[in-house]
Amino acid sequence: MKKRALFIILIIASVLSVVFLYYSSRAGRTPQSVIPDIVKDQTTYEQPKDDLIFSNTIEKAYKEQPFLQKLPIETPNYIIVYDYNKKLIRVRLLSKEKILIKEEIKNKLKEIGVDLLTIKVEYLE
Amino acid sequence: MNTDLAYQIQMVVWLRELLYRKQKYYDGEGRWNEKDETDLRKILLICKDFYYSADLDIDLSDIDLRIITKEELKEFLKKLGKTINKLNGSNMPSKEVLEASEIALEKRRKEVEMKNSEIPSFSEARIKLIASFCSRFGISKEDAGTFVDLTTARIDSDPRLAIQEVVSVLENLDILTERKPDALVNYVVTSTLGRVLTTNHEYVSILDFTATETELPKSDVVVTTTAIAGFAGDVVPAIEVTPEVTAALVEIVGKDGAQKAIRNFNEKSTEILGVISDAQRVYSQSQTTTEALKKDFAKSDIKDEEVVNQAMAVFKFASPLLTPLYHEARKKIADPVKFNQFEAFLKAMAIQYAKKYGVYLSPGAISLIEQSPLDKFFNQVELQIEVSTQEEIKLTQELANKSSGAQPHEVEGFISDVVSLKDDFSLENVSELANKWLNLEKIDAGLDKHFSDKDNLQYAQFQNWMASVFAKFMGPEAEKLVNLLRPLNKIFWLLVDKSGLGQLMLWLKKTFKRWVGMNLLFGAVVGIGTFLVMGPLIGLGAGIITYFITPSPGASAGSALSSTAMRVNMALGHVGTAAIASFTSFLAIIFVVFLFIPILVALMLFIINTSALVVPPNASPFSGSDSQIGFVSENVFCTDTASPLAFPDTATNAVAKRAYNIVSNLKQGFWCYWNRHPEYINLFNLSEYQKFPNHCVYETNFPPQCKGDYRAIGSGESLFWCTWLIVEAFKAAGQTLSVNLLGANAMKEFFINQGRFVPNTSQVFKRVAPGDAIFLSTARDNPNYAGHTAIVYQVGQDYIRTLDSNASQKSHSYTVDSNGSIQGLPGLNVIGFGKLNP
Repeated sequence: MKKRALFIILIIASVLSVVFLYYSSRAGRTPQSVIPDIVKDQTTYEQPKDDLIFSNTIEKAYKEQPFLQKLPIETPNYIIVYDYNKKLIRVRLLSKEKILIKEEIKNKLKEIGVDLLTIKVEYLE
Repeated sequence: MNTDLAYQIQMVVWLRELLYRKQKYYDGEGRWNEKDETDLRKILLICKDFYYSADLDIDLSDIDLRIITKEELKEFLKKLGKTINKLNGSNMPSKEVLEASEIALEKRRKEVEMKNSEIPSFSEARIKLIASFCSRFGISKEDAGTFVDLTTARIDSDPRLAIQEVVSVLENLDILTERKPDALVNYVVTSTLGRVLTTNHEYVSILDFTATETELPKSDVVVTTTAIAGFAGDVVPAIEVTPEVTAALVEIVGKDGAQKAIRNFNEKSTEILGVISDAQRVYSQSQTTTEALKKDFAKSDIKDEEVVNQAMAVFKFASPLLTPLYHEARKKIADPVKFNQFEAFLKAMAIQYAKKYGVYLSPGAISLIEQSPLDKFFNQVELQIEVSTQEEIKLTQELANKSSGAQPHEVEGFISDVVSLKDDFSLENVSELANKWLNLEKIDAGLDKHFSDKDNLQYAQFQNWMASVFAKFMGPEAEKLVNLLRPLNKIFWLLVDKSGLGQLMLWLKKTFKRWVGMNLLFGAVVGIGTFLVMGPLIGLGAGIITYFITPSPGASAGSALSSTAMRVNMALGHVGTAAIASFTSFLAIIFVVFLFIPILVALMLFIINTSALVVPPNASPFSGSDSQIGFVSENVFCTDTASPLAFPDTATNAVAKRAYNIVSNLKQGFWCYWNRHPEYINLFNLSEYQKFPNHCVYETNFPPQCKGDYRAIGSGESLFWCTWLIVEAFKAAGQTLSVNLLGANAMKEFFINQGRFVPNTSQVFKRVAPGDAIFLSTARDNPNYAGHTAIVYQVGQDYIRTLDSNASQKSHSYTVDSNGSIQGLPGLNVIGFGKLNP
């Protein structure tokens, strides 16, 4: 009787271990390809690299001028962007209270790390 | 010569020298490097520490290195020169000055060395007070420093009142919720107006002058109101003396008093105008001010919303001027009738001031202002005054005592938050975490790497958080904490950060799998072999020892044979027992290795893979910020969560909306780029990612320090490429793009062939719409070769916003050039757009 019980326990344990192993391995498995072989050419090998270069280029620009990733800033009163060609901050003023808004913009730019000594601000009114 | 004064002169001369050099640098002469800038900031900090107590007759707060322009610098240098001359200083300090300075410096060194002194030195008290403010208000150290300066300056009158005043200002004006450093500084400055009013020599001189001219006592309402009005002329240079203001003045202070006040209006100082402007901004953003004004205006019959808004704008605009005047008048004008007249004068002044700056005011709004009492508005700063902490008051008293020589005031009744904070965050608990749990050096190095590669702002936030934790520890353990703080905070941070815990799980999973795969089999083989071989060997050894060492049962030679036989039997018995034991052990090992351990391993993997572990809610100290901190895992450092986009979905276009949905759910995968989507598990090679998160692409050495055969992820389904976003999002518009278009350039060619491509030329932004695909060149030899694509989400006259997959950020923006084309970034060229709808 004891032998039979032990035998049954061993069988159940074995089945359980097989089931657990099956599910755990399934979670990490990649299904069969849905992409035709024609796609797996030189271009597709290059695409991940191009994406990497794209992000690296952007990150490099952000690293040199960290405030770039805080832009654009858009509020009901103004829109702030960076003009890469002229290398200046461009602000479109939408509010009529220009004196107050300019002060606010100046503070906002300082807050995001724009060095107003070296970077010019151009207002579009 | 007074040693302190000599020290101050030396510092000011040094400051001037540095500023001259900076000015020359602005003029294109000489050099100005990082060390010079650091020196300048240090010396300015030192000077600021004593400027309130010195006879410098110059306010060093005039110079703010962050905003100072060339012209401002020139002006400041002039003032500085005059100050030095006034103190009999020169460009080259005299021998006497130098000697006196040395004595002063030595004195200060000794002060610093007095670590066990009951009274902390000047700088220690200042640092502690700054730390306390950092903690209480969640502000930066720089802003807290400004705060401390103000408190110290006001301490002469009443330390508790000074702190209460600043605290109440902060708490009533939403500073704590907005946490805008500039707003804090502005409000400190605004509060300074009140301080100036009571201590400024101009105010006092006007008071004296008016009293003499009118032959009335200084406490007379006519004298005080004239002085206030006259001083207002100084602080608000833009006020025009209109007939209305004149009439109001005449009514209150008489014709002569009004004339004197008007004369003061005409002698204006422009220095405080900027201060008022900053303060206006704070008032205009204040919800508390809005609520107070609403209550005041509600007492009137006029309910028109537009009229109420106009009146509200007037008072928000004029608040920095009106509030200190009102409170000063409240103290000095006892007669209620006269006070009401003065209030009417303030209203008239506010209206004129607003008109001067072009604030539109209808007749209805003027009536509303005239009818309303404005009690709530003027008294809003008194609504919620919180008693300062005991520690802060003590420190402030010490600062005041050292900075001005004034006697500290006795203060009764305190609330001490510091003690309870210590209990909340026990040092023992944190130390235990540090020593027991994790490899500090590794985490430290990893985080350094992360911060150097990522966003400086995150590091600044981290530093601020450290400062706030530091502030919780006051007392003898502070020194220990300084040494522990950096790694400890990082550990704490990792443990509480949701994404950090997620990465920890990933790391455990990988490590465990590797251990199972490589070590378990080897260990089992060696273990079984050892048991099988060692068992009989040990038994044989035991048998031999038994045979030769066991004492013989009999002494006679005749019994030798039987004795030998017995020894052989015993020896063989040991060998046999050992062999049986080996076999039993073998069976046990088989059971453990092939039944128990697999079940255990499978169970653990099942838990990890199915995310059955509950990750605690996001308790990151940077909650609300775009925190992306994870666990250090090989060369990669990313999260396991789908970070939401920083802007809400406002798209009306189906493709843009679908793209928003897809990108929102993207998780970080290879290279920590957003290229893993839980709904598209067939578009991600998980096993390859787990092996080589920093996978090589196209070449064997790109990106740097990569691992893995690049061909393994060259197929289209290896990750959610940029082009997959276009393919999947376009389905929302019923358009099925071929999977043959997974190269961005091939996709661009497709649009060209279909006649749906718009090149990036002048005024192109008018032809681009949400849902279109943007194509960018990644600086290859051919500028028209598309290396990346994304979905256009938003189009405006100043910028366009895109949604990206397989990129380091989920969204990018591109500036619209003045000619209407779309600007790229350095090294990136916008080629054109694939139209969703031809």
